[in-house]
Amino acid sequence: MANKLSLITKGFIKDNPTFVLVLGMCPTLATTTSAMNGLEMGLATMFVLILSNIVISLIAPVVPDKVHIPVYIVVIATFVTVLQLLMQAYVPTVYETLGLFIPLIVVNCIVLGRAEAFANKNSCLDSALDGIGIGLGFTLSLTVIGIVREVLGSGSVFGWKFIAGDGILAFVMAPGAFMVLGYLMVLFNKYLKKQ
Amino acid sequence: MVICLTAVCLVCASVLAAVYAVTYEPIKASAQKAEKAAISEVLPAGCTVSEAKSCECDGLTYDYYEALEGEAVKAYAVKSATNGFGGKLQLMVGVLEDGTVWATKVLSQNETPGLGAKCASDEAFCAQWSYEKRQESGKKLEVLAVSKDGGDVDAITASTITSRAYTLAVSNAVNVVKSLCGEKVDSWSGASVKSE
Repeated sequence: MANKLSLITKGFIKDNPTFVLVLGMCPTLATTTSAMNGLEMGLATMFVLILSNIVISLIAPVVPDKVHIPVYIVVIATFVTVLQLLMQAYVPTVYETLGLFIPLIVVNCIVLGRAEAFANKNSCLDSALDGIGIGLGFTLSLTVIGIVREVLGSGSVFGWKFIAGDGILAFVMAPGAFMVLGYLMVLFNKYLKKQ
Repeated sequence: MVICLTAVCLVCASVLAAVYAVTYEPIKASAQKAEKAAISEVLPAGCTVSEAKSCECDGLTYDYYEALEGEAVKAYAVKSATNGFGGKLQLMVGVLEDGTVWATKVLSQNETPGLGAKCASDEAFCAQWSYEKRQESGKKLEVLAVSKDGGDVDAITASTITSRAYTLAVSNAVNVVKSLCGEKVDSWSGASVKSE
């Protein structure tokens, strides 16, 4: 049981996809302009990650080694497109803000990375838990980056404004994304070393 | 190997086809709802909105809607797009028959977050496009160009390109309405702010 639980918790700290594995940097930098955007992007990725992990762990034994990458990509792309259509239909406002970055989940290294490194060697249940763990870790990282950038850049948290007027504009734009990510990574690794 | 790949692709394709079929109607409905909301937002209250029509003006095709009060056309909602700083900037512009800008609404934009993207939310910038708010503040909107270019539009700070694109889209829409009304009464002189 403790083993199963650690599958979920390892995504938060030990195997944190953003700060430790440093995977999926493109959506991390681009969509974290606000806390809400980061959270939504994290949840969208988690949805794809869990489902693709489950399906890939089920089909892995019968897929010939030579074509395993194309097969995984087709599976992942299918889930991403399903997600895209569902979001467009039922949460059009979220779809509008994340727009371009939804289809890009297909090439997010986290999803294919977990399929290659974990799902094809482990059971269906373990893979699902791994998807939840890594997905939550990713969501948490994006939300934290989003909160920092929103506080500094727009003076608000989750859209709730506590400073009138503008913040430090640079933090809403790309340079701020790199700075925040860099500093958070430093803090994160310092904390890890102490442990 | 080939069989496996084909089978996976077939299964995935059928899953996608099923989801597409299920979501087709809701997607269409939500897009239409968004557009309807935008139209009624930029037109005077109490008008009935016509079906979509399209016309040509300065070599470009525009979609527009008529706002009818009884039988008479009172205003138009014109869908107008220009190139902003980060790609296409699409607006819905409500224009009265005499060419007065009634209200505008951003349909889609891809401007810089925190700068140009404020064209959809910046209070001072948005207020000057609304006829009612202009009446309150006494601001004039006669020359459709940003103040840097000698017009009446106050640009968003540090986003002149976006502001120019926005203004151009509005001015194009006004020209469309002028040419529409001109066709009807055959007396339009052609005097309007020329857009570059």
